[in-house]
Amino acid sequence: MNHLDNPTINLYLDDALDAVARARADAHLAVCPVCAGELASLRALTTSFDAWQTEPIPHDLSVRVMQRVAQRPAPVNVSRWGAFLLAAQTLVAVGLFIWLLPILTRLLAQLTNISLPSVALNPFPDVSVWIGPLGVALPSFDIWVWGLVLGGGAVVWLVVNRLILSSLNRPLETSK
Amino acid sequence: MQLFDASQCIQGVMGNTTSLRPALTWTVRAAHCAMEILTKQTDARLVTLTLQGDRDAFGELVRRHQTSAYNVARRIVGDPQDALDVTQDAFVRAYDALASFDRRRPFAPWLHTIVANLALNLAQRRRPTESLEHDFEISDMTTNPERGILAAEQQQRVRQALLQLPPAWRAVVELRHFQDMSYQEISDTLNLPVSDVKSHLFRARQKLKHLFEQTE
Ligand SMILES: [Zn+2]
Repeated sequence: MNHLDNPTINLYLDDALDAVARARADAHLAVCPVCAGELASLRALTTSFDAWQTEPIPHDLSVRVMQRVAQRPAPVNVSRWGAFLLAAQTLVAVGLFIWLLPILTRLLAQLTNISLPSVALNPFPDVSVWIGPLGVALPSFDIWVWGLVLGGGAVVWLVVNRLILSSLNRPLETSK
Repeated sequence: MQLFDASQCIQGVMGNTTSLRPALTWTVRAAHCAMEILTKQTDARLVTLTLQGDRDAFGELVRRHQTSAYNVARRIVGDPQDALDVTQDAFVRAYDALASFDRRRPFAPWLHTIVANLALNLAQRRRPTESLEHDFEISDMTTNPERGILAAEQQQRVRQALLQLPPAWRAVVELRHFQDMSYQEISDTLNLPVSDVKSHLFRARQKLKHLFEQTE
């Protein structure tokens, strides 16, 4: 008769054997006092841990923890909705950046008085071609008007974002 | 957690009935307990309040869970001062990571995984013999001296034996037997392969059996 090996007895104790293995172990334990004794002693061992009683904490930690926590930024509560918003915004931002890059580079060239090669002025001609048929052509504003529109748009975007994020994080900033 | 607190509360009331205190006293106490249970915030609510910027709510979570967290740390690091430090650090970590806590789950097991990890890190940095040098105080001796001494001896034996295990084995024993975690949960908590969890646990049991047989 083959005895149950040590891992099997331990897995049996933890109720971690599959049904077949467990049935096989049960059948063996019913007839083998050696393995049954081994299992019993392991059981006794685990119940002996109960002797280590919960002891009271020597002193209250809440004051010290609160002092440390007060110096830290509030935990950021990014909800699923917030995460979705962030991902959507990133996509939109990347798309806008590609679309507006010719204007941005032209603006930069005018501001810094550097003459840029044509590839820098329109690095994504294919994208412009693709967007053109969709009817999304860039209006031919003066470059400075574009600068204002883009700069203003960016500021509005950031402010709205900040408001949305803060409302997601703490809808009711009550105490303090 | 709330149920646990409630049962403690009710036990307190029942204790008074056996000592034949005036009926009025325990009626008032029972009513007080009921009020306390009703007004008590759930852990999930306290987490929500903390995330909404109410730091006092986190203070309540600390007061509620510090004893259990301290005991987890104590069983892994041994030394009471180290255990206090670990517990404190664990609460600060928990605060930082609070947004990632799933409020549909109980708070204590989540906290205990943080404590266990920090405790294991500390225990692994310490020399193995260090934790054995501490004398453990014997608590309940005054109430029932004889039984108290026996229980204290047994407790001492268990502690001595557990603290002789390598820290990683001890942490696995803590999570399996004191926190009632499955192999997979222990593996996730300590970032160990399940095969290591099993081998640590089985070898720890074998060693403990030997140690207990020696002291008997
Ligand atoms: Zn056998």
